[in-house]
Formats: sequence, C-alpha cells, structure tokens
Amino acid sequence: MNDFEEFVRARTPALLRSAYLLTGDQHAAEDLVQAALERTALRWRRIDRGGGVDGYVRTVMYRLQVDRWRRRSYSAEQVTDAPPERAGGDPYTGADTRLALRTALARLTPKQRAVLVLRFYEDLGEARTAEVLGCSVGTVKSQTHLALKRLRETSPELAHLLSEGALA
Amino acid sequence: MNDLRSLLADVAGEVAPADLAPRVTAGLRRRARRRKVAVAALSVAVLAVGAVGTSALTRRKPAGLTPATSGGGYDGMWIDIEDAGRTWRIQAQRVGEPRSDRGLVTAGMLTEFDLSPDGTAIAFTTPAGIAVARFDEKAELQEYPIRRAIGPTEARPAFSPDGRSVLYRRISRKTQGISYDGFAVVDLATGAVTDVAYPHGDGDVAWSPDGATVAVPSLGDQGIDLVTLAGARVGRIGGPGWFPLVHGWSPDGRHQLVAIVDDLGGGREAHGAAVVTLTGDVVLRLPLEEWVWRDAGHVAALVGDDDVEERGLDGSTRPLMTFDFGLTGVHRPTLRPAS
Repeated sequence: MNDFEEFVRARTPALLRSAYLLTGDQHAAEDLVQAALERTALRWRRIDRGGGVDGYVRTVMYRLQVDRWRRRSYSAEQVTDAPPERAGGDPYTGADTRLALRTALARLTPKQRAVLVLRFYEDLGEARTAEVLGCSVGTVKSQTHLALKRLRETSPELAHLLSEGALA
Repeated sequence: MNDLRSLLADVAGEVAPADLAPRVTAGLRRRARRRKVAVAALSVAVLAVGAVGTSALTRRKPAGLTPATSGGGYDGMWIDIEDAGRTWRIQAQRVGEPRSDRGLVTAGMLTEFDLSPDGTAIAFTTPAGIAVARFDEKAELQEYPIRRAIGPTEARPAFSPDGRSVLYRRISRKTQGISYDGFAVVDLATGAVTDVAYPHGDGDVAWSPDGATVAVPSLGDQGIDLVTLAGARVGRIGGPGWFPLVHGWSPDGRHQLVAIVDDLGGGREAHGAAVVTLTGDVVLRLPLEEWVWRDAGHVAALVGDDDVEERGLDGSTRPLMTFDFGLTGVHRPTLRPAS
C-alpha cells in the first residue's frame, strides 16, 4: 500500500482543487476526495499504473459528486431562477470576480458544474467529459449550454469571460 | 477560454491543503469492519432489492454478461450471468438511497418477501399480514392486485417449490420482541390454511426443493431443524459458530449453505459460509460472505469487492467475471439468483 499512500500524498492537492470547484466547500471537497481515494484503493492492484490511476480517481470523484446529489432527497444548494445578490464594490477586481464566479457556480446543478469544471478547468474535450461522467456527448453539450446560459444570467459581470468569443 | 480557466483555477486555489492519507486509511478500515457485519448488510441487501423493485424482480434475461442500469430514475446496477438457461444476478446495492415511491416499498415490509419459483408473483409481509401479488406483463409492481391479506400475526412467507402454496410463520407479538408459534401453509387457489404446530426457531423458513421438508433456523440453538409439513422434526443440523438465519437449500435438496461466524478471540470474527449435508457433515468451507447456489454442485461467490468465482463442492474454483464497482457509486455488491 506504500505506493498508494505515495499517490495519495502526491495527488491530493490537485484533486482537492477540482473537488472544491465541484462542491464549493472545503469539508465537502475533502470528503469527496477521500471517498474517491478509498474506492481507488479497493481497485489499486488492477488499475493500470501507466497513467491510468489519476484518470480513474478523477472519474470516480466526478461520478460520486453527481451521484451523491442525485441520491439526496434535498439539495442544500437550491437552484432558483432568481439571480443571486451580487457582491458590491468594483466588479473588475480579481477578488470580486472570484466571488461572483463562486456564487454563480453554486447556482448550477452538480452535473452542470461537473461539466463546466471538466470542460473549462480540466480542459477535457466533449467526448472525454462524457466518458468521465458516464453520459452521452449530447448530454455534455446540452449541460454545457445550460451551465453557461445560467452563468450569464446570474452573473452578468462575468459576461466578458463567457462570451462565445472568449470561450472559442 | 483561458480567462475562464484562469478564474476557475483562482477559485480552486482557495481550497486549504489537507493531508487525507490518514483519513483514507481510517476509511478503508471502517469499510473492512463493515464487511464483517454480515447480518446488517444482508438485511440492507434485501431492502435494496425491494427498492430496486421492478428491475431486480423482473424476468429480464439479457444475453451474456451484460451490465445495465435499471430504469425509473433509480440507478441500481446489476450484472446477469447466463448459464445453462438460468440467470444469476449480481446486485449492486446502495446504502442510504432515498426510498422509491414506486413499487413495493409503499406496500409493506420488504425485509420479508419471497419470489415465486416462476418469477411471476411475490409473497411479502405487510402490517396487515401476508400478501401475495402477481406482476403484470411489464412487472410493474404498483399495478399488481393484492390477492390475499391473511392477518397481523403472520410473517416470513416462502413459496412452495411448485408455486401453488405459501408457507408463513405464526408469530406472537410480545412486549419484548416476538415469538414464533409455528407455521401455516395457505393454498393459493382455494385459500385453505393448514396450521402446523412447531413453536421453535426464528428467521426465514425454507421449503426443500422436493416440497417435503421445511428448514427452520434457530439462532439460539445455532442450527437448522428439518421439519415435515406435519410438524415432525426429522433432522437437525448445526454447530458452534453457525449463523443459520442466513441459509439456503441446494437445488437438489441434498445440502444446505449456511453462514458461519468464527470467533477468532479478542473480539475478532471471521465471516464465511459452509456447505453441509443434511446430517451435518461439512462438505465445503468458504471464507466468503456473499454467495448463492449456482447449481447442485457449485456456488457462485463474491471474492473481494468485484470478482465473482464459482466454487465447486469438489473444491474446484473457476473465475466467472470481474466487474469494476468502483465507478458505480455503490456501497457493495451482493449475489442473488435472478431467475
């Protein structure tokens, strides 16, 4: 198990960053990464070491996150049509923009959020994103469209980042 | 894209560093401990199958080793193994799944049910007693007609091998738990009930494949009584460490497969199973918790978290399949016959 522990220590920071984008909460992110690593440990002997481990644990993590939400009888983060209250101050400072993005991400469903993180943070293509989430490419396309649409609606101050030109 | 990615990276960078290695290790130890709680896990397994409802109980037989997800918004997963005209199902259960508002969960206590041998009906315990229902063509459980509710003091139904009768326990509800007073057999065609006085044992009774004998487990005695439908005990098998509430007849009626809990001392236990003859001779020991009869000479067993092997009574071992449950979001898989 030593090589697994080595893997955990080496990859935890990057996994935590992705998990934080997925959950928006420090503790939830830690729980999610822990759960994904435990499942990976159970498969450790069988996973292809030639670059497959990181992909495996990320796949588990993303699916767990989407799955957890689907299984909950309620959602702590309610998706609403009403735009959120936006932070005051200069909308063009870095801190305010980060806050706006965090707030906007919280308005997405977990699947939309996962698609967004995979596509625009992990830089994965549509096919690979679909593979990670275990859904169709069509679903990835529609979820991406809906996620960006909601971000534009709820956070006009991010419009310059979300225009088709900026995302092309 | 770069701007959005940079901003996402900035947000991601707000997360505080954490050393998760000790937590992962502790979590794996908890998982190992959970595997030892065979009783709780098995009862959850029954509940889970009930919650899956139509999917787990249909006569669906996909060709080959086909993983599939069930419909109806429930993402239970199973794998069917087709072999010699019979289908064996590996049911991947979930824990903490919200109960479905469809199907049997709304009908009663799904900790106690039995499928008819031909897979077209189910007998189950409700607060009002035993109910027997048939599936419609689509196996939609909410549409079945409840044919008979017998009374509030019956439990643990079991179909006869020919599917024409249901045997159930007579119970007395007391301040502290319940006691089993005997059992009864109801003829499903006529409704006639035959009482059998046998005030012993507890748990699920199981009809022998030839219909002549009933296996009545007794947790206190760590054994199984073999009783005729006239209430006469014709045999008893058991021994130290037996956990007879989890048991099953071999298809030919010559053996019982029984859960075993070995006390290793110091509070440690090892869970497994034993195949025994009806005179109590142990034919095969399995250091495994999940198993199901495959045919009269073989048991399918879950090895580790994702390997399914066939173990023969002659000591042979044959791998059946491996499946990656790591990606399914399930707690642990269980084995059940699906046809």
